[in-house]
Amino acid sequence: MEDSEVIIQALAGLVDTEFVAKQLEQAFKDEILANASSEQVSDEEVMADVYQRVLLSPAVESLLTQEYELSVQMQDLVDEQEREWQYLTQRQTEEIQYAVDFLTEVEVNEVSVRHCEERQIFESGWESRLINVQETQRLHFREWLLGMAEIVETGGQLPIRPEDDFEHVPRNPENIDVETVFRLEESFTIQLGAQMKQTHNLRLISADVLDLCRLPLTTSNDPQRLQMALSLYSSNQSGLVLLVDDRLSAYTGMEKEFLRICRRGAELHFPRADLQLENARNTFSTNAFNWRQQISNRRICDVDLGSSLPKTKTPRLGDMYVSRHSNLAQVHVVFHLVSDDSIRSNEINSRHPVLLGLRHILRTAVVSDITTLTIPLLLVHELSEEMTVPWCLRRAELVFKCVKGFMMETASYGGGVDARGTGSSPTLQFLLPRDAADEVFHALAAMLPGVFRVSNPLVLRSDAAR
Amino acid sequence: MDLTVETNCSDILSNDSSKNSHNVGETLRKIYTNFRCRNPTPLDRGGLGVSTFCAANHPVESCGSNGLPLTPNSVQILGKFQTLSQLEHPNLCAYVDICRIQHERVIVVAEHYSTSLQTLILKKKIFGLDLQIHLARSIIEALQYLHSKNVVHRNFHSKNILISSEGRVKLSAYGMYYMTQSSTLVSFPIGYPKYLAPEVLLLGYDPSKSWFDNSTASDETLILYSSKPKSDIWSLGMILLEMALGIEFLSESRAKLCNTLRKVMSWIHAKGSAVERIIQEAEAVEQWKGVQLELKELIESCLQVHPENRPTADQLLKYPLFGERFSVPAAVFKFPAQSLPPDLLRIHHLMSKLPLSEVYHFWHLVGGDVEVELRKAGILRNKPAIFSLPCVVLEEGESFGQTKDRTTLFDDSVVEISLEALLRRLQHLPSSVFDPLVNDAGYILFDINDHPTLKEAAQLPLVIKEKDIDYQLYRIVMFDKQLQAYPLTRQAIVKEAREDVPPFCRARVWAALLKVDPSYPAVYAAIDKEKSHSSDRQIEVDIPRCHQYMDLLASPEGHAKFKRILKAWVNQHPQYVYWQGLDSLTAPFLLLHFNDEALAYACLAAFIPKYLNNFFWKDNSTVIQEYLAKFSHLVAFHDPVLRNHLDCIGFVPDLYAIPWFLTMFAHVFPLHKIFHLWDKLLLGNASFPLCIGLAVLQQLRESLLESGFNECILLFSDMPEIDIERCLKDSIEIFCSTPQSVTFRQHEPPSVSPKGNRSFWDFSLIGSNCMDDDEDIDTSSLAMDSIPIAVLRAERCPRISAEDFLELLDLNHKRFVRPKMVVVDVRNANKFQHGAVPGSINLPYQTCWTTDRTLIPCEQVEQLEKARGKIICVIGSSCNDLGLKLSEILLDLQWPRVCVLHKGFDVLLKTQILVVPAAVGMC
Repeated sequence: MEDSEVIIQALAGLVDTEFVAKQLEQAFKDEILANASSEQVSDEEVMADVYQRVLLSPAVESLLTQEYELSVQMQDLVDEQEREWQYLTQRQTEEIQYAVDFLTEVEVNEVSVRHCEERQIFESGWESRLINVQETQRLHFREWLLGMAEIVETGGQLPIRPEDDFEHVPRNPENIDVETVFRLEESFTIQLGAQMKQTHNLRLISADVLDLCRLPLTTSNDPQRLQMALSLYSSNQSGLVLLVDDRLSAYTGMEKEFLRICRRGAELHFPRADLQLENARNTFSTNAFNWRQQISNRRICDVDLGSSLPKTKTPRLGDMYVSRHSNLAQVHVVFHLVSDDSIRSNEINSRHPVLLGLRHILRTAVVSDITTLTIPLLLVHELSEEMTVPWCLRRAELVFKCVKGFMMETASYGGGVDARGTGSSPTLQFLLPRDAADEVFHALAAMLPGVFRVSNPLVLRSDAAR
Repeated sequence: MDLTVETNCSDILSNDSSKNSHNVGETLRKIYTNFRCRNPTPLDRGGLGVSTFCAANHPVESCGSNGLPLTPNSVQILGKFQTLSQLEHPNLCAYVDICRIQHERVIVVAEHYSTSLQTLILKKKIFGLDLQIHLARSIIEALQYLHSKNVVHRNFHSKNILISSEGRVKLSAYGMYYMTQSSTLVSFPIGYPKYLAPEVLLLGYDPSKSWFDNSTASDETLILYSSKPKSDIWSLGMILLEMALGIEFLSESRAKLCNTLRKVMSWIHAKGSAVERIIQEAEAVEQWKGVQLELKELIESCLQVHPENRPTADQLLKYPLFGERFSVPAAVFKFPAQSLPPDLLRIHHLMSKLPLSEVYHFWHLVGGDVEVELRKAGILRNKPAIFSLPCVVLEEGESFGQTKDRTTLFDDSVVEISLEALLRRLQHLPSSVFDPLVNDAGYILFDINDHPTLKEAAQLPLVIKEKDIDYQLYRIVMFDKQLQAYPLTRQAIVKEAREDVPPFCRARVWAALLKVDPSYPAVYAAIDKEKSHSSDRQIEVDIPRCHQYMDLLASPEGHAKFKRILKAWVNQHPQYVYWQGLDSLTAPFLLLHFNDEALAYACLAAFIPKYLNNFFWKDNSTVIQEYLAKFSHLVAFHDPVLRNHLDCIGFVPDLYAIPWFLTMFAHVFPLHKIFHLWDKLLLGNASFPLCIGLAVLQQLRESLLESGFNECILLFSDMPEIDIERCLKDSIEIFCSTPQSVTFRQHEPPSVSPKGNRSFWDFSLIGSNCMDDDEDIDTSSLAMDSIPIAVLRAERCPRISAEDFLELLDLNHKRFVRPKMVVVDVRNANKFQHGAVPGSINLPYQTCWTTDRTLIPCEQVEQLEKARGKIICVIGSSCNDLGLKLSEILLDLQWPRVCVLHKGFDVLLKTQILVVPAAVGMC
């Protein structure tokens, strides 16, 4: 539009200046700092800042001990709940057995109704108790942290605590040793790119996916805890891809197991894992559902094909939700990628929705500074009968190749390659189920350098003469 | 264009001078402007300012019309910025550098002053009329310059009008709108509401920029919707009005933003000029009355409602206000310069004459980092990444639940870089480093031996040397001086370049090494760069795959330049065709001369005939075959073990070395390595790349010797890491220990000078001092001839010319303390007795070896054994190939440095060196 034309139109009253003014105002307020509303730092961010300050101070040890104690408290509580639950189920089984054997049908029904009620009371009772403890813990931790930050700030004397007022002996079978998390492990350094090579680290591991999450409460000053705490708010986070079913139910399958693990540690930074799940479910049924409807409406308008409206409000194959955690062993961020039984087929190709989902995960990871990402190499967490050695090899090759493509694609998301050098090199971990045969592991370790180019070390020799 | 290597710039100069003495000055001035620093705006009393903003993200899953992923917007901005860095005007703050960091953020470095017009207005400084005129004139002149370069400012604000300590007016931030491609590459609006012209505001703002489709980026819609120069004139009027009244009007506060916008848009209802209305609304009628009449007239005309009624910047300068009454109010307008500790004044004075870009480069070398500066100032803050994760990501790629990150909002603050640390670091340097004496030919009269730290630095490895501030400063200042007097100083430049080439000067030094003719801009301008050509499609495909990790080469700006240069070359050389690889050859030059396309082209056009003569013929197989055959000979000559192994597994150079030589390694190494490689390559002659190839092979020698055919193929399918510095050292050694005729090629470019200086001017090697010329012999028969390609490929040992033979023989012991060569004569004993080369060993072919191809031990073989390591020249009879056969037996026995005398014994008959062996005796 010619400049003068706009003015002529405006003079003729054809331009809604009020609308334009509002639109511009919005743009300036949304995008320009000087016009934006004064900063409202979220509570989370304030805490993150305080947390990091304490973490980098001499109070770090107290901080880790604090976290450790709270986690132990949670764990004991959950253990107690599980014990009682077991006791309750046992008692009820005995009762029902007795009722079936000796009582009338009506009475049996009464007993089972009572049992049902008992179970509900048990669950809701424990639920509120756990939530209560969790909330108390959070408040306590927050106060403690702020107090500590002030002491650190003012250079005050750190409270000295008796060394052994709290001795926790690992007594739970779920407290696994870090060394044994990876049953097998092999690392590779690879390079991507034609002339300018970017270095990445790859690792092939065989482990139980949930062992990467389970917090080993062995000692209060576990170096891995410190490492995880330090990187929590940094730009070097760790992520994990967890394959789940489309129900996103807290009561079945992988999600149930995962939530159980989350519950056992004190989550002092982010919303509880079940709330994050709930939130994701809501997003799927509202925003995501609406978006999909719009898209398919548009498509129907474009072509009169029967591209049907999305019917369900549940996630589809290849969708994912992202959860954040501060109380897991080796991960901060979990990508819950929706998968189904089609993944067991031998016939899937690179256009399979789960692989597309994997691509989005890699992109999200790069954009969000997740520098260590663990991917289930076979796209399953458990091996079954039909997953033979050839099946495993074929699947691994597909995933290797796709991931290589995704990595090259995401290379451009980083900053420019200039005098600053190429920056840190991200790590990708390919995870094999713990029960994968050694033979498979070694075959895959041999396959990897064929797909990716393993870097040739530059050998510098001091003797130039030959 | 016929730019051969013989083109000598000084010749052109002297030719010119004979015709017209006036022309010399003209030409010289042109040369100076051609080979000077990128943007020579000196540091002076200014400083450097850093600002930053984020480019808009592309929507997920979008791709361009060619199906490739879209270029990140930040990369596009980098490309657009380059034009801005070329702008120079006394009233503009020069743009110095731009860089791109994570999350699509770019950081801009520009000249900066701490005082702005806004600070003056806020301080209620009273502007005298002279001052007002000075300000107005300076701004308009800057604007006129910008408009002449097709740059629309749009970002006017009184805080973007800076004033130096001597009172010079400098516009800043004028490039925002340009580098963001009319703000389409960012998500924020550019400009300040109260200064924007009503027609700009009336167009409204569509945050999604739906009118602009990035994938089809059509220029028409862009031009239609972007602001025009006339909008700048309005903003100018507003600025001048504020200045004249000495007040700021229209609030910029958040609460009154909408009101401000409404008001500006309502001004269109004024008749003619909006100024009366503005004055009334600002309640400044009284002050307006006091404004000088001619200034009033100027402001009035700027604030015309209809853009076409506003004058252009050109017209404004002719207004009566700027008539003869005008005088520069130098005295009126001075602020105390930034206070420096007195001990730094000397070094600051020395530095102030250096170009800004150079000062910035040095600041980098002492550890300056723009990102850190911004962080220190709190402009760049990172929200922990874990808070910006999405909640849900769909299989389609759409994500939900991400909160807008406040840290990505546009902040127009500028952070001033403190140069104090740099100055302190350089304080110990003597003034002579900053202004070294040079003689007329450009040779430096500064003795590095007087400065132990510099001398020490000169010995360091290349990559460390390039980071050494003292050394770099000394080198850069010196090269600057020499380059200014190019081409007169070319020899001096070559001499210094042999030492090393500082990265900062590389672009210009390379042009000098390639003897680029100073008239190159005209040459390039005359070439048709648009004409369609059969190779267009291939060029189109190759460019987006060529060294795209370099942001500049990946930007649309870079692609356009790339295409023009390639097409220019193809169109200009009808005898040649476009071979894939030409793109890789162009990349280093384009990157170095990104802002001087013509020079990039000129370098390319000079490079190809020098190193790749005839390689770009439509049928280049003979040229390449000859090259590879010579390469094989060279490998055999220096490393028979490797050669025999590679032969044995069938791994011939045809399988790996074609891309090496066709692109002079530009396809196989990343550009930062190519720079170091070519720094030396450009000093060598056309045969030097063969030596580099051998040095590369030798660095991988161990893996090659251990590998079979398949492993070798795999090894070279992606070039392994190579230590370039060592590779270059090795290749120079190889070059110096190789007789010239060994690498003689039929297709090598015609040598620069016929004789006397046969060996190349840039390296000293065997044969640089020619043999005595007093003997009157016909040397042409002693030279190397071209050999049919089939013969060349069949032979496994190289031939040596009689000319080189005689030099190496060194009968008078003039050149070498110890003989470099041992001669093996394979003719039968009878012929040998009749006449032979002095000192030669007679190993008659028929009798000297057994059927299992080993030499029969005898006195002569022992003698030969003692000479292992020296060049072994086998002489056969001219009428059979027994010499060649024996040389191949020696090669099979892993004898190094075996060669055969070209044309055999008879060629020596005329040379009068032959003796009867009995007379020589045994040595």
